[in-house]
Amino acid sequence: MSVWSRLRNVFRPAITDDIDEELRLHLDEAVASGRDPQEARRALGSTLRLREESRDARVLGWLDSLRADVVFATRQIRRHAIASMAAVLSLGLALGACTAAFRVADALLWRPLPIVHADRLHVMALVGTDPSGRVGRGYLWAYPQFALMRDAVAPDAVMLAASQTQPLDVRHDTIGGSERVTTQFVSGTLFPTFGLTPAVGRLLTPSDDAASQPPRAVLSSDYWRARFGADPNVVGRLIDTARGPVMIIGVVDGPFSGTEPGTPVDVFFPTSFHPNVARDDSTWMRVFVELPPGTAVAPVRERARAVWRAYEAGRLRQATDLPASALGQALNLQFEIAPASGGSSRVSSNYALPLAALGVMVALVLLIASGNVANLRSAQATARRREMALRASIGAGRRRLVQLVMVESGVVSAAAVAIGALFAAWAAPFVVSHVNPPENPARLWLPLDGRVTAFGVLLTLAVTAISSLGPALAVSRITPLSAVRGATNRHTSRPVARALIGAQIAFCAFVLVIAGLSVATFERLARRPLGFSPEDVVALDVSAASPQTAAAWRGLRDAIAERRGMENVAIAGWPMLQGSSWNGYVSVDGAPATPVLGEFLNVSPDFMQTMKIALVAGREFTALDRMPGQAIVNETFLRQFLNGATPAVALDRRFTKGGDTFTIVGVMQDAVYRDLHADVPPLAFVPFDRTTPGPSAWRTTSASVIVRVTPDSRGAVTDWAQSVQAISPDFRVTSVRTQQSVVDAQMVRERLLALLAAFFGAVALALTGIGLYGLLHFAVVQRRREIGIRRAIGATAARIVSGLATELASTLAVGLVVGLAAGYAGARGLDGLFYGVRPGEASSFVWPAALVIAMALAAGITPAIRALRIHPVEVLRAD
Amino acid sequence: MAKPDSMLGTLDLLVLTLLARRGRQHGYALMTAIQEISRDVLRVEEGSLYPALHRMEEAGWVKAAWTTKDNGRRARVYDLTATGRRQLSTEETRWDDVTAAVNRVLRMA
Repeated sequence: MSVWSRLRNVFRPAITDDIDEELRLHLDEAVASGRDPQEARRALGSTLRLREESRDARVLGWLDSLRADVVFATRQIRRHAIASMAAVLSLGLALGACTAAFRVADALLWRPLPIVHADRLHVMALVGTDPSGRVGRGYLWAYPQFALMRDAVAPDAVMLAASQTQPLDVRHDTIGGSERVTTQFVSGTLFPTFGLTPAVGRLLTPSDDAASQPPRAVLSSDYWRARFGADPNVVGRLIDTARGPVMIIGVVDGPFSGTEPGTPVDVFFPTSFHPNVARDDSTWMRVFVELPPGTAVAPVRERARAVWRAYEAGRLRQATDLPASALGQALNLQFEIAPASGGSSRVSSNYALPLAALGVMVALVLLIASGNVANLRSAQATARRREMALRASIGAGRRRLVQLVMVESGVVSAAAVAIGALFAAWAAPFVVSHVNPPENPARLWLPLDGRVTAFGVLLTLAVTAISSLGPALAVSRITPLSAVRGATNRHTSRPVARALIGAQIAFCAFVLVIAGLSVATFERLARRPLGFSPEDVVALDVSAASPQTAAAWRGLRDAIAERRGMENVAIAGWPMLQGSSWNGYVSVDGAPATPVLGEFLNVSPDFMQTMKIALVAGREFTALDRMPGQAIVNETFLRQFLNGATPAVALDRRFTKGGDTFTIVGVMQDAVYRDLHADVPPLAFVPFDRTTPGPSAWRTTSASVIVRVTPDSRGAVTDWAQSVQAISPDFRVTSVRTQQSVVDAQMVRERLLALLAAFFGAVALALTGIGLYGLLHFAVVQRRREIGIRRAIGATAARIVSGLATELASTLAVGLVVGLAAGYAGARGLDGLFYGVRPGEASSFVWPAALVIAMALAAGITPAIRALRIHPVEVLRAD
Repeated sequence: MAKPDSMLGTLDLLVLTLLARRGRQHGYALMTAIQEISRDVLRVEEGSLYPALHRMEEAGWVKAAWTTKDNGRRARVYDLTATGRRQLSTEETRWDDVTAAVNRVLRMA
């Protein structure tokens, strides 16, 4: 009650009048009772002191001064409207960017999965070094490998597996047509280990892993709510997939939606339902290890590795002609078991490094912005020396002065936080929407929870402290005497301010180095010659309900080719640059195979014509070619496996891959195949149609139909893609992509990073420019008198400007050198992000340096002109 | 909130007692009353009366209101609250303890 009334009194200025009136009435009464007015006043004492004493009793003193300070600070900020606006905007932008970066990184990498003991969850990876010395991690495993390792590490650790999330077209009776859902194949150990319980029905258990079990499906809670209206009778209903109907057995309770943040799973299947579950050469699942507390990692890891090595050695010896030495090399990979409380996905491992780079950049931008605010505030504080000294001399304590300065920074920060929050609210979803290709957007949950709020609050406090500590210290050194003496220290060079601007230039150069490399990387990727022509090519992914013969696929191809607007139609295992891989060890003329893997893709006769891949020698496939039998290889293949034989010589040579023998019938030009960032691998096209040992024809359930359309019928593709099923009820188009979008998907990460890096590079440059301008402008204002006198005694304009420039040049040079060096070191740490440019390259230094120098010159022009306009007479007269 | 300072305590005790016995009064009346009753032995420092009153008001022992006196003058009158009444008995006990202690010292020494 009491504190409340005092709080209320803070905002009731009438209280002072109240006290004054009471004291005045007291005196009146004293005089009325015959006392001498002088004596009565003396007896009462100083009205001022009494009022203050009474007021202190009735008002929370510090709070009152706080209110006064806030009012004063707002007035002060309004007086320097433009400078303050710039400070608030830049600080807000930087705060918002930092918070947005934190939100995305937290949601993608750090937030623990909603499971019990997320801290015990680890992910297992194969670690190897590629020929160029880059460390690579492989996260995908084959099911038979997993099953063996799972048994080997039990009971010390529980091993569980989850496939990469996959889109799948499903039908069920609650939706009319088909819809695309996200699915994940999980081992039976996953749900029990994660401590998850069913909302209805039951979840998958280890017994569902058995191949004999009929396929089952478990729904995520969100999907159940969205599609089935949380109907408890969903259990027992069927989901129709391209691979047959699957029965729903239950719904996961709680928010768990798979192990890939950014790609929430709608439907879980058991691993036994995966088409490649029995294959030992198809890796499609991530393996997690739950380690109980106190379990040593190394023994678990090595037990798993020993089993894996023995198994792989047996498999490779059987499937390839690798000599023992090469076999040892292929098996010489290390295992890594790393904490993965937030899950593990292609997106999270892809974006860990870019987010780190981005985090560093936005943090530096924030430091630059804070530096600007600090400099602005110290300049203002210096300009207000007289005011401060006056305050000190009429009794303001140091604490009071520091409080005044801190409050002013606080007001700036508060305004900046408001802008930052708005910016972060927009920026985080923007970044997330650009993480994945547009047709498969990331759905990242970005809650404004305690973690984000705490981060924002801590950040704001830190920024306020950084930007106000300097000025506050300067103010606290002020003595009452300096008011009397007038402005002293007029010609200080303000070493703190100069160090600050030097640091800002260094930060700016650092950001520009990273930004330059990111932009160059994207540009080089986008301009990389592909070796094929993606324009006007559309890829239809087609699934068949039951395996179809090559003849049936050919029928589908012919039916599509008859439509209007088709230039060429072909069939392939998958489109170029999709990233899928089918590889093997190659041995030529019976010589021992090398540990370098060759890539293989099965294509129909018209594929090269459709993709416009140039044939260097020999011929394309004909309808008579079969796999194994004929092959068309690329130039790298010749260099890698045939000692660089010329195309003409290479024709009719034979090679084997895992027991199959091929004759080279054609040589094609190198085309980028699996990864836009990597060198072209040795690649062999093999015929789509295959011979089988038995009498029955070879069949397959999925392939891609690759279509080159005439330019004017491009838009119609999706329309007739829907009607493929009308051609044959056995086939269903599961996705339609342009070849260009497949290519672009390879650069999504680089595009995003280049975009953000360029943006923050520009912001850093602009902020540093503003800071530099402020410093120079202030230096000129401060030295008006000095410059005026020098002009009066005959200094030339050139001398005055060169004086200013020298002061700037040393700071600039030091900041630039330090920043570029740090940028080089930082870029080396981020090497995995860059393509086609090396951090040490001259261009990675020249551009940032040129930009910073240009910015410095631009920032210096106005202050220099101002310095030259100073008229000696005016200055001398004014003082 | 108030320090157990003997001087402050004494003034508080006097003011509270006066308000309890004579009802609501304004500052000047309190001052003169203390002087008269103590036959000029106790002179209230005028300078410390008002801060003390405002302090007691904040502590919730007294409440203040503006009234117009018979002579048409405005006055800020103070009245005892329930908390003030409790405080008064505390102060009285303390006063008794202190005087008893002082008396003991005077007798025994």
